Amino acid sequence: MGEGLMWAAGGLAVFFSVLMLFQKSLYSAAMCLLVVMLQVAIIFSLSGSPLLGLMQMVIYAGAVMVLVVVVIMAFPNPTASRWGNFFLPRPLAILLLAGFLAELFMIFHGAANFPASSSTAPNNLAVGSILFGSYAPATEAATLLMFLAGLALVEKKGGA
Amino acid sequence: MNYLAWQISAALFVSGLCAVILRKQLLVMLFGLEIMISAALIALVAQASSFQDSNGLAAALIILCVAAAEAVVGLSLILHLRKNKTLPDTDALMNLKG
Repeated sequence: MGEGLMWAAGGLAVFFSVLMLFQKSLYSAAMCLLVVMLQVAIIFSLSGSPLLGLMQMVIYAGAVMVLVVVVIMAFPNPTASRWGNFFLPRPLAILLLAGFLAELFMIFHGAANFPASSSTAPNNLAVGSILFGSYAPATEAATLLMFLAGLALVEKKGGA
Repeated sequence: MNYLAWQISAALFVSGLCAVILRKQLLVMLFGLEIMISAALIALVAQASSFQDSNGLAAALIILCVAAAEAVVGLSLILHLRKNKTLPDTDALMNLKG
């Protein structure tokens, strides 16, 4: 059951992330991103960490998406072409793409041997005690960073 | 299941990278970055769960918060472009003003 759900969530996430690539309107690109973020939250829960899944939903699908909508409202919908113009010499670009596809092929066909998936993942209690135990300074730094990042949005007086 | 997580992570990372390389709108490039970070987090969570390592999950949670802070700063930089009436487009931002 878990495997099937993982296939569904992963398939949807990849499909909508590729779909986002071709969207001309910023709104539809943002909606595609929202679907990807929600599927990633489901994948986190299926991988054995419901706490991370909920945090992903709260932080990304909640807070960041609100800011994305504010930024989209601030700008007119793009009318010009959506693709950047490439300066990379063509042979080099083709070489890079081939290298990438080879790496992907190796990942998909198990070049590295992955450990068998465990049935019981560490529970939220263990994660919580680590977050506020040995990782406490990092946790406080991350929360302070999020607070300061929010200040970046505040308009300076005089609009400078 | 773990192997599947790696496949999803690789596919998501590549599609996020394509968004950053191919698209012109800064916002969609920022979306691509977010997808790449999420792809890396999927691999980290899958590994941490399979090794039953809560340190890995705690680290993933902190990375999630730092990535959200990065998204907010990126969005505010794009929002600040509006003041000098510049479109958030890589073509419009060609020179660094001192």
